[in-house]
Amino acid sequence: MIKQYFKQATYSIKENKVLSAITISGTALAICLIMIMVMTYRAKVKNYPPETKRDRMLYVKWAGYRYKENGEISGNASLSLQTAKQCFAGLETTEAVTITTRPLLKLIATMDETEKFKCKVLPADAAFWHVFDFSFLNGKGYTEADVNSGLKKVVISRRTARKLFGTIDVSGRQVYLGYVPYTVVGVVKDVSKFADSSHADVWIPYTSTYIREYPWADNISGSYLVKLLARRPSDFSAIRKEVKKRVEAYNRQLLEYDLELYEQPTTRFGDTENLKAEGGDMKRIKRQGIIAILLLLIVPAVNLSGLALSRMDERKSEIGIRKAFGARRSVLIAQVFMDNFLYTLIGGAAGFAFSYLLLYLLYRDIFIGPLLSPVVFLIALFFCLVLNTVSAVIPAWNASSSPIVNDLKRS
Amino acid sequence: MIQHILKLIWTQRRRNLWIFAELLVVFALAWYIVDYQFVLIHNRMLPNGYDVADTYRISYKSLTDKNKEAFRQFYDRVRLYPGVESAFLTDRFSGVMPYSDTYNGISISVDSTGNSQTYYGQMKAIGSNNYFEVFKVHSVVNPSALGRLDRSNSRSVVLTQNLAEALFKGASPMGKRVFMNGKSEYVVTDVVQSQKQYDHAQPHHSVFYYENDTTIAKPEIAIRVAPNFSFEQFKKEVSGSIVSYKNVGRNLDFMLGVTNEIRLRTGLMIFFLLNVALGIIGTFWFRNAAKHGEIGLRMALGSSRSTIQKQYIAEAVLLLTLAAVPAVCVNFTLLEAGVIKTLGEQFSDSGYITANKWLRFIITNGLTYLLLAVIVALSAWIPANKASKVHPVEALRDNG
Repeated sequence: MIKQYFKQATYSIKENKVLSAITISGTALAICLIMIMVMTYRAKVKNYPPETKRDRMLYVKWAGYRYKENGEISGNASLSLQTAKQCFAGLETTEAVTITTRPLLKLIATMDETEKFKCKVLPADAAFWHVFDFSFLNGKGYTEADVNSGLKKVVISRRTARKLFGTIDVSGRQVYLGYVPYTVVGVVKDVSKFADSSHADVWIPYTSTYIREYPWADNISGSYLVKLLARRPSDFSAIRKEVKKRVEAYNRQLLEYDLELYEQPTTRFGDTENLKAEGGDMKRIKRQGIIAILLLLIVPAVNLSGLALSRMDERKSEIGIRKAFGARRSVLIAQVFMDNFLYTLIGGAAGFAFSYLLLYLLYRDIFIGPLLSPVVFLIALFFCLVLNTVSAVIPAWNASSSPIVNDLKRS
Repeated sequence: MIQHILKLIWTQRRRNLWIFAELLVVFALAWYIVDYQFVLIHNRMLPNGYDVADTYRISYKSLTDKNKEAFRQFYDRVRLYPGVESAFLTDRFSGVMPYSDTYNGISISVDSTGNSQTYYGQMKAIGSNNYFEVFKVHSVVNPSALGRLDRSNSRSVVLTQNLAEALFKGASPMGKRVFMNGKSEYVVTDVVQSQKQYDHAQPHHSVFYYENDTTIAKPEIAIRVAPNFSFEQFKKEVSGSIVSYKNVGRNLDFMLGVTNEIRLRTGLMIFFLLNVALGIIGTFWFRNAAKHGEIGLRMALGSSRSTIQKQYIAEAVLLLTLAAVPAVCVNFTLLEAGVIKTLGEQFSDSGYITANKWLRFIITNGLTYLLLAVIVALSAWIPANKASKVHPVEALRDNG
């Protein structure tokens, strides 16, 4: 029976080459765009190397300071080292806590200064290498002892190593970083910009360089960011409770201002949306996302629906004869859906494949590997089915319910 | 002609309903994007109030007692480097330089009693008038001259034009007193062009006043160069920490997410327009088969090829116009619901088109209509062209 549908659907495609091309293009376009959005979202929010533990991480990047006397927010910035250490270091409910600063731009040069260029520097601590899963091609990360002594050690990316030395076998060699000599202790695989919590060209202990302090307002704010790694996602509420206690104790020691963390620590999803200090409303952001996808589906759905309807109109006489010979309603509806589904499948497959190409062109440094998961394929298939159903439902109802006489009349 | 086409549209209303619905939805969505682009382009076209062409930013590490002298020598080397016309020194976090991400705010009013309106703006502390030289910031009071602080008066301030107008309305601000943060009294000695913080923003209020260079902790040097300046040579001989202000601006836009916002909206717009194009081509293509006989008849009765084509295109554009009416109503609802996001800061008394709600609404809807009309006409032309190539005799014989 299905073979019958399939044959008819294939014939229909061959018969109307132009219209088939248009329908398939329309579907491909829609699926392509949706999948690009889906994959970009996954790269930003779901586990993605080297941030392979995002699903059990919590993020803190803003510290507001509130004037104790009138409760008004006086300003915002990242956290000061004092705040980061007192409120987050050694939290018992976490597996690890890593402290980093906002990235810096420094000049990196070989010792003989034959190669020099600006690079992005991410000052971090030793726990950084535990929380994030970097692939070390040479050497290893700096240790807790290095960080405590403020030693001038640096981990560099493969691209940086090649640019400076022409090879990646460079552990132990020295470079000038911001005019100061550092020793290279490791070389890692390049990091994609989608891993924005860990992305940089080189990584150093934050104790090895000058990090700007903001001593006003009780030294609450500064340049530091904190990431918490939980043992399991179910520990999140326990972690938040412990953080709250620590913050309360911290605020009691402060003289004029209180620390305000807004909705933090947040999950990765909250972290990506939180571009401004005063935080976003999580529900509103999720709602906007759903509306966006719906809008993206509506326009092609209306398009394809119209085309499907016209297609069915063409075959009215055929459908009329089948009805006259006793074909049941469900059979006809199935025919319409199957007919449509073939178009959707071909268009969807084309669009899906094209979306990978487009992603590569848009973001050169993206790793396609993690995006080739079965989950992504299933999501693509899901949207194809949705599109298929929405665009076939009205033509199907129409084809199956119009009186036989009208259908036969047109022939 | 139009009445005739309207009749045609009505007879095929079932099929036309889909295109109508699609055009309606796309019109509303496209308008949202067109409005964004309109504000963006409008803001971009406003003068920055400073000229960043041929200017560069040179960074230096933080000053300590040990390297103060070394920095002094470094600054002299930069100043005297061949091709450097003028140089200005400030702190990286003073907020003075173009595309700085620092904003130090102050409140300013014409008296200290709190009776008159307080305005808010950005304070820009400068150690010398070189700032106006490097960025070619002109005085509004004396247009042929550059702006300048009166160095003989320690309470001298320079206001940007928008702030001066807000504080003093039509009167001349020269020599008048202003109070910053309620208490400190200053005297206005010059007015310069209004300045934008980002290329895509609208100008906000700014105040320039004098602050000694000794307070500088993290130096930043801005230079304006002549054609004989060699960027590569400078990088090798003096410092590698040099970047053009144009690039600083570009990077800032990227960091703020504006670049991504624009790309996203442009991508979406192209997506919607492509869908419309495909929809129109598809719908009208179907008609070719159905209307075969009718077209043959028309041509036999004297219609030319171009008339047939024009009829197709007119029908498509007319459909768009019909769909535009409810679409504009939808847009109006969106506007009233406060869904429209404004780019950057907006002052309701700014006097710019973008703040005039109705004018902006009319202009942006008009632009959306024009954009869609072009796409619709081009898309309808393709099947129209094919249809008009029919030979009347064959078509009549077919009697389709």
